[in-house]
Amino acid sequence: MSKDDQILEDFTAKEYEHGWSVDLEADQAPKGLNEDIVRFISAKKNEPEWLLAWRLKAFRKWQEMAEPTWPNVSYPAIDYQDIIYYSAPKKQKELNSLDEVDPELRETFEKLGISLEEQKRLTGVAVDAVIDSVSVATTFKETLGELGIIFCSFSEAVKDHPDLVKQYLGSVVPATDNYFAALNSAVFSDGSFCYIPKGVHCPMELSTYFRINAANTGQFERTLIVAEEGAYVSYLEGCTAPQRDENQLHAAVVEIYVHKDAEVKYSTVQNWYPGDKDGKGGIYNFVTKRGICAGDNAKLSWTQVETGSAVTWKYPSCILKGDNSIGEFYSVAVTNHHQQADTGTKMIHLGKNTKSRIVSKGISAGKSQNSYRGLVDISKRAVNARNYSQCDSLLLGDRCGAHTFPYIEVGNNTAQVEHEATTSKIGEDQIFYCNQRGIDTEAAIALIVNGFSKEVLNKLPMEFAVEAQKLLALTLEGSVG
Amino acid sequence: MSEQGSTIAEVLQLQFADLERQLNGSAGTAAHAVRKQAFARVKETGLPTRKNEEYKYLALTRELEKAFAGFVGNPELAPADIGKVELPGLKGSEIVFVNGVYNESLSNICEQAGVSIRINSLEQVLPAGVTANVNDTFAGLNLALATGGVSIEVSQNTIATEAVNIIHITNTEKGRVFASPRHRVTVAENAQAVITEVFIGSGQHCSFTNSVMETSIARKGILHHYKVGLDGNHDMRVDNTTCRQQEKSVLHTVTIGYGGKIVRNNLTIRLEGEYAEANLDGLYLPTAHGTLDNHTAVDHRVPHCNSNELYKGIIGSNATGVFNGKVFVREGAQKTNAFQANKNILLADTATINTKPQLEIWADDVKCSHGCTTGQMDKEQLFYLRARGIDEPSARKLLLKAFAEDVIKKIADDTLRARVAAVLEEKLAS
Repeated sequence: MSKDDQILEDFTAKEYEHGWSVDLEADQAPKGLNEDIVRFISAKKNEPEWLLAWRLKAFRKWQEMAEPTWPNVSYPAIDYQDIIYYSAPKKQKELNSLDEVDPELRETFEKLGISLEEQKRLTGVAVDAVIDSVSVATTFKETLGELGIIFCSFSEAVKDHPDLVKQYLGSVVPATDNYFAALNSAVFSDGSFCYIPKGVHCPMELSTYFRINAANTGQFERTLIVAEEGAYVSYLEGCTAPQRDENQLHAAVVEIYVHKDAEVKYSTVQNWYPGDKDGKGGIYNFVTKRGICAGDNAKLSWTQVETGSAVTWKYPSCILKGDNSIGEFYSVAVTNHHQQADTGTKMIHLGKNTKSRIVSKGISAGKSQNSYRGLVDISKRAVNARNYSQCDSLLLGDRCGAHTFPYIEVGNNTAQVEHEATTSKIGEDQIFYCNQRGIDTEAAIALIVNGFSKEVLNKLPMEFAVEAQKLLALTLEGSVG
Repeated sequence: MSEQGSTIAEVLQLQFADLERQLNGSAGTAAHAVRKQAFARVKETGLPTRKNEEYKYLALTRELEKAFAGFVGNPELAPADIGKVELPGLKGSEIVFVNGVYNESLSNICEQAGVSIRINSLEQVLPAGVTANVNDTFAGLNLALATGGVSIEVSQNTIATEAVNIIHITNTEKGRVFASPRHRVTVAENAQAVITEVFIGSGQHCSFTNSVMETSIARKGILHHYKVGLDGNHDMRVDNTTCRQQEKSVLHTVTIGYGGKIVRNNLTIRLEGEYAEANLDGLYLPTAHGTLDNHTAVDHRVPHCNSNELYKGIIGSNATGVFNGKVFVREGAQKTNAFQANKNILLADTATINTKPQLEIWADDVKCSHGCTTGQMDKEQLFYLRARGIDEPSARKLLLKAFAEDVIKKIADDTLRARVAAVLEEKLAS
C-alpha cells in the first residue's frame, strides 16, 4: 500500500471525535405522534390557545402530506411513531449565575471546548445554550436588554412577547410549507427568539449552541429572528452531537424577517454525528431555513460549514422582496464515509435591483454523496436583478460522488445571471509543487482544501472561523485525492 | 373511423388500435410484440405532466390534450397540396416525409457503395433492445406508433461522400396532423457519415410530431449529425435522439431550433468505448408564445472520454427557452473531460429562460465544468458600434449574429450552414 493509500485509509477509517453521551434526567413524552402529543407539548410549555391551534393545524396538514422523495439522498424509511417528540432536562429554579447550571451540563460544554465562562469572559458572545430542546442558560441578557434587544428561548418569547411571536411566527416559513416544516410546526419543543429593535446595531455576535442529548429524541428547534428597520445582527449557530447507534431525526425551522435597511448575518457550523464508517447511525438533518428581505435595502447573508450528519437536506433561502435588497449564501459542505448531503439555496428575486451571490464548495470523500441543489428565480417584476453563482466540487477518492443541480429561472430580460461550476480532484501538480517546497502531502492537502474553501471561511465571524478551520483540518486530515 | 377519443389517452388508444388493424400480415411478429409492450408502458405511466421533473417547464401534455381532442387521423393530402412545399435545397440525398409518410416523388437518393439507405423498413428501425432513452414516455410512444422511417447503414471503412438529408414536412392546411417518424443510423468501424434532419411546418391547424433518431458509431467512426427545426407556429414536436459511441468514435451534433409552438429535443449520448469524443452544440430561438426546450444528457461510462457542449439561446418577447444539460460520470470513468456551457440572451421583459445545467459525478480523476449565463445585450458593445456610425437595429443584429455564429460555425456542411445562417438573418430582421 502506498503512502497515499495509507493516508487515505487512515482518514476514511477515522471515527467521530466528539462522541459521548452525558446522562441528564429527561422529562419525556411517550413515543409516537398524534394530536394528544401535540397537546401534551403545548401544555407542558404553558402555551396560549392560539399557538396550540397553530400547532394542530400544522399537524393535521402534515398528516395529509407525503415525505419528499426528490432529494438525491437515500435512507431507510423513518418511523414517525417511533420517535419521542419531547424531552426536557429537569426544570431548574430560575438561574442567576452560571454556578447554578447543572455541573454535568457544564462538563458537556467543557468537553466541546466551549465552556460558558470562557465564552463569556473571552469572546463577549452571549450564549443561549440549548440542551435537548429547552434553554437552560442565557448570558448577557442584561447587556442586550439595555439596547432593547430580545434574545431568549422560544418558550420565554411566547410567554413574554406573545404579540411579536404571533406576528412573525410562520410569516416566512408557513406552518404547512413542506413536510418537515409542518412536522416541526406541530411538535417544535423550543428554540431561540431574537428581536433587534429599530436602528440598533447589535454589539456582539449572538450564539446558540445546539446539542442533541437524550437517546431517541428527535430535536425540533424553531428559530425566529426579526430585525427592525436599520438594525444589524450577526447570529451564530453551531452544533456537535454525541455518538449514537439509532438514527436521529432533526427537523429544524429557522425564520428570519429583515425589515428596511436592516442586515442579518446567519452563520452555522454543523458537526452532528455523521454515523460510523459503515454508515450506521448518524443524524438526519432535514432543515428548513428561510429569510425574507421584506424592506428596501435589506440584506441577508447565510454562511454554513457542514461537516456532520448522516443525511442532510437543507436549503437556506432568501426572498428578496424589497428593492435593492441583497441575499448571500456561502457554503462549505464536507462529506465522508457514507454521508449524504443535498444542500444549496434558493434566491427568489422579487424587488428591483436585487442582488444575490452564491458560493458553494462541496468536498466529498469516502463513499459519500454530495449534491448542490439551488434555485435562482428572477420574477417578471425584478428589474435589474443580478445573480452570481459558483459551485465547486472537490473529490477525494474514487468511490464518492459530487452532483450539481442548479435551477435558473429568469423571467426578466434586465436580469444578469451567471452560474459556473467545476468538479475536479486535487491536482497532482499542485501537490507536487508543495512537496518540492518541503511541504508533505498531508499538509499540502490541508493547505489546498483550505484555499479551496477560503472564500467561504472568510465570511464566518472570527469566533466561528477558528472552530470551522479546526473542523475542516480535522475532517480532511490525511485525505489524498 | 367513426370513433372519437375525447382525451389524449383515448386518442392514442384509437391510434394504436388503427395501427394494429393495418398490420395485416405482420401482426404477431416480434415487432408487433415490441409495439404492444411499449404501448402498455405508455398507458401505465401516462404522458408526463409538469409534476414530472423532466417536463417541469413544459406544459406539453396539457396542450396536446387541448389540441387533439376528438382527433381521428391525418387528413388526406392531394399531390397538388404537397407540391407547394419548398424544400431547403440541400446537397446530397433528400428523403422526404410528408405528415409522417414517405413521399417518393419529392425524394432523391444518391447511391453509393457501402451506404445502405432503406426506407419504411420498420423491422430494422424498431429496436432489438437499442433504445438508450427508453425512460422517456414519448420515446416509448414513438416505439408503439412509429409508421415509417429510414434506416441508414454505413459499412466498414466507407466514407459517405454525399450527405443524407431527412426532411420532415408537416402540412396542416387540411387538418390536424399526428406523426411518429423513427429513424436509425449505424456507422460501422472507421466509417464516416453526415446526416441532416430538417423539420418544416406550415398550415393553420396544430400538429404533433413525435420523432426518434437512434444512432450508433462503431470504433473510430465519425458522425456529423445536424437537426434543424423550422417548425410552424402551430407545430408541437418531441424529438428523442440517442447516440451510442464506441472506442475512439467522434460525434459532432448540432441542434438548431427556429420555431414551433412547443418543441422539445431530448439528446442522449452514451459513451461506451474509451477515448470517444462527443461534441454537442445547439442554438434556440423560440418564436413569440413558443417554447423551445433542449434536454441533453451525456453519459460517461468509461474512462478517457471527452465531451464538449455549447448551447445558446436568443429569446424574444413572450417566448420561453428551456435548457437542461446533464453530465453523468459513472464510477470508474476516470480521466473524463466534460465541459458544458449555456448562454442566453433575453430580448424582452416578457421572455423567459429556465435552465438547469446538471453534473452528476461518481469518479474523482475528472475535469468537469459547466457555465451558464443569462442577460441582455451588452450595452457597451452596442455603444461601441453606435459610436462608429452603425444604427441601433443593425448593431443589435450584428451582435446577435455574432452570438449565434459560435454555434452555426460548428456546422461543417457549407450549404446547410449558409441556409441556417440565412434563416437566422430572417428571424433577426423580424
